[in-house]
Amino acid sequence: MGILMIELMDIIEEIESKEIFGHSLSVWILSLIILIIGIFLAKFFSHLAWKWSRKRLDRHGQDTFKKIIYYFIVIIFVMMALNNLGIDFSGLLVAGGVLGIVLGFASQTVVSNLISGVFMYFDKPLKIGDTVAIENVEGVVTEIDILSTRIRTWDGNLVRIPNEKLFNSVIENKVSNEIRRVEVVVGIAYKEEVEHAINVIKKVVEDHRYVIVEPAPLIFVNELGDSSVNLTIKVWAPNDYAYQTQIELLKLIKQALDKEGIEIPFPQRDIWIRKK
Amino acid sequence: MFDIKKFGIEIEEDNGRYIYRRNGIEKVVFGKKIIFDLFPIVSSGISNYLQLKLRIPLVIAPSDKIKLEVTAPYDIEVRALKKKKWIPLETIYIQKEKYTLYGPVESGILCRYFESEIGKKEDTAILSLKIENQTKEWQEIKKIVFPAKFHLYCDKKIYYPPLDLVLNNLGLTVSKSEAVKGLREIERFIKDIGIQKKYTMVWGY
Repeated sequence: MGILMIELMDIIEEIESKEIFGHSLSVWILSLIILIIGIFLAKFFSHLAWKWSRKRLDRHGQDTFKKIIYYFIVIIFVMMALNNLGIDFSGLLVAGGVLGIVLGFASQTVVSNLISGVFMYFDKPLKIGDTVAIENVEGVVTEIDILSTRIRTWDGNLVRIPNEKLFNSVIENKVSNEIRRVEVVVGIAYKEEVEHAINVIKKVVEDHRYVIVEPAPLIFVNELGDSSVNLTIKVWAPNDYAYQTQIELLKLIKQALDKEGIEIPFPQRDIWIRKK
Repeated sequence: MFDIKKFGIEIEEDNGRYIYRRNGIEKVVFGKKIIFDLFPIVSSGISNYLQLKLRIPLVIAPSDKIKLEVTAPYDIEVRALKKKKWIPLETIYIQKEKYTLYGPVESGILCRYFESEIGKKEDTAILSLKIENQTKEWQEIKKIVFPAKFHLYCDKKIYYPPLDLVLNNLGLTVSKSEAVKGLREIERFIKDIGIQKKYTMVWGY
């Protein structure tokens, strides 16, 4: 027992005497313990904050609140750990002027994204789960962070858009309303009677369960094209069923026109050969 | 109340499990002594509201009160039951499933749509209305919108709980009234908690 105690004392002495970057190993270990405790507490309290905010905030608000609590606690414990290593923060404050300018230039984009993120939190142009189109990116919002927003595109890719860019972009939010407009264009042959074709399409549209009664559907001749008379069908459908409605309408209109013997022409061109 | 065979439902029992089939829909229900039954429910489909478009508009004199019955839609829910606990397997639409928007595009509400008539009609439920015109003007009602999450009543026919409609300067307020005595309440599946019992139609009626 006595030998063990002596050995332990030797190890402690060795740790005390060993210096790394001007500090004893025990100081480094203590700082590390402070950091680990800090991360543990940050996780614990941020989880509590998330639970508290579940009934009070939306998902975006919950995530933001959780992250603020987490990073706040982590920063405090990082400062405590650094203080333990003898880093004096008052010195940093004196040097803050110069450092501030340097950091200011370096973190211009980060701060800009951060502020845009805060503005977006209050403005709420989109929320998690919304179907949006932002410039060339279209998909579902999966995450709104304090610095960036992530969108899962229709082909399954994850696109990260910095909040600053998002804040300055034109955002087309496709699910903020209950219904969305669906548009289908069908061309019929010039020889066909337009009124009859419109009535056939009208029947298909009215029979479709997801085509909204009001606002009423619109069917009209939109263009006298090169090869066909183009009819535009504009209907409204519930948001979640808009894409399905568009797909089904196209198929059903084609079937109904075929049944009535109304020709959907393919592009054609008459070529006249000049006689010599 | 309804005959399962009438709706083309097939239920096959096979070693402690049941196979439910209808119109290409197939589900396997595990358990013993399961009862399959059909229950009429308020038509709401994918929305939470119902709009009754009155085929003939109602014109009501100033400060007048009227009572009438109109037709209302119902759907049938197929449920698997065991020990008073049940799960819906499928909804059968008795009337055409259509939807409409009540209000402007940017803030309106999605409603199940039904063209209602005065009186009774085959394959529809009966809805009693008490309408009070509290304004000093003549009023015309073309449609009624209300939250469609409540249970129905029945004897030989199916009944909605009666609705009280009050016309005033705010608009047309629709609220659920006390159920008529003598009617059997169809077992509820929807929890009443958090369901709006009153709705004011501010975008016209």
